[in-house]
Amino acid sequence: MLRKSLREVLLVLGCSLLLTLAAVWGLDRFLDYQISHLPYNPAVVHPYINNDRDKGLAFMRRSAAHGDIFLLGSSELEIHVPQHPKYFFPNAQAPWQVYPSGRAYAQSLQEAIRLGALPAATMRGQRVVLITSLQWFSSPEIIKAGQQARFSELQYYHTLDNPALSKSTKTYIEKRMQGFLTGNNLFKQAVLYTRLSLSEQPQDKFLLTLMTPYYTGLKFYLALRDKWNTYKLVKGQPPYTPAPPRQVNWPREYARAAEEGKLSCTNNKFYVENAYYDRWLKQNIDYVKGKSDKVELLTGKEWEDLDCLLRLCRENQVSLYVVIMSTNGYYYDYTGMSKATRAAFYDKLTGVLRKNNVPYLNLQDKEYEPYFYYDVMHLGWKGWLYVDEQLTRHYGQAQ
Amino acid sequence: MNSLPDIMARLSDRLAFKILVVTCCLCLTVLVLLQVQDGEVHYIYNNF
Repeated sequence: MLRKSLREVLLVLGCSLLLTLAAVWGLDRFLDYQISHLPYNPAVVHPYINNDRDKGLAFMRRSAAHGDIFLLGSSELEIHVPQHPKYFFPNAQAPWQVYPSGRAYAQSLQEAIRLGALPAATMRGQRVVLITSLQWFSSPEIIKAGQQARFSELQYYHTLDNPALSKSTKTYIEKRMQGFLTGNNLFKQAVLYTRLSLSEQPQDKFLLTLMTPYYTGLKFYLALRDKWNTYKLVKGQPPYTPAPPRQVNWPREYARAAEEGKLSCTNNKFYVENAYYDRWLKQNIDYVKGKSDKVELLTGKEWEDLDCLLRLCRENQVSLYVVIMSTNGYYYDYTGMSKATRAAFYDKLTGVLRKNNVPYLNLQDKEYEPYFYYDVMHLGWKGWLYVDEQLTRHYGQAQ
Repeated sequence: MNSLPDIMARLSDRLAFKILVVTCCLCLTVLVLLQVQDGEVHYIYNNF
């Protein structure tokens, strides 16, 4: 009798588990289909803060399939001037949406994890723009809390599983992330996985093998949840009818940008937007004077992360186009970071990119152009417009 | 005439019904898990 009951329990559990797995598989297929077929509304991916976009993969995969221009950057993407690329693409010469992705502290290492998370077959031929900031390189080590804030467990596992990437690239990423994530309970699964993966001890290898089913399930769960969240976002958008790409009159847009900049920067000598100046600089103006005269731009860990990113792009067949964002020269002179120090930085960065055969747009000569920067470091009216124009030229069709 | 408890008692004897109930519970668990949001580290950056 007991044996019969046990057999029945096992039978019920086994059948139910199989049925549930089938239902989950069906849900996964359903979400894939819906995400790739629901009308694409760019408003879904344009907000600066969007964790489903930045930490997931479903949006990225969908944008790749649509041929969008990936615009990877950091805090400059938050600057909502009318010249932001989300308003200038698609245009008549470059009829593609932009897929802006990134927030403050999304630096080379995070971009490497993001660009390694999709397979080479998807990334090949994709238009990928990376906006680098001088500030990434201004400290010996990048900020731990910032890396934790931007970390995506889903993208991390996918990058480590990417067969196109070399062992050395993966090991570098693992060691760096282990340093940043260890000690925070939010990341204990990723930290354990990394520790076991990096270890050469036989017992750790054995434990990792034992835990493979767990991590396989975890990766599937994270991917399914990402699709679920993406589906909810895409489905919740109002209906979208794309307008025909417009013809941009660049001279007229430059005149408009200059006018808007002029109206917005009237209370300071740095050509910084008024509200930004009042909020961040006004009360600190004596404190910031000369505070950056000792900053070293040529030796930080960010350079190694950049090397890793460029290597990963090569291995994963990502064609990168780098925008070297300079900075507000008037303000940085005031802080004591000399023009020569910055010039040495731009020289080194362009040298690294040339050595890796990566095309770039160097904004070094725009440091003193009024209204090019919105504040002390972020692209503004004329700056974004210039980037729009250059991206259109770089990717655009013959004019 | 069968009362509801009678029907439930008979149904619960049937294997297919038990499988259905357990499957529903498991599917519900999956749906709940899909709603879980990871904790997030917030870090405000110095804007100058």
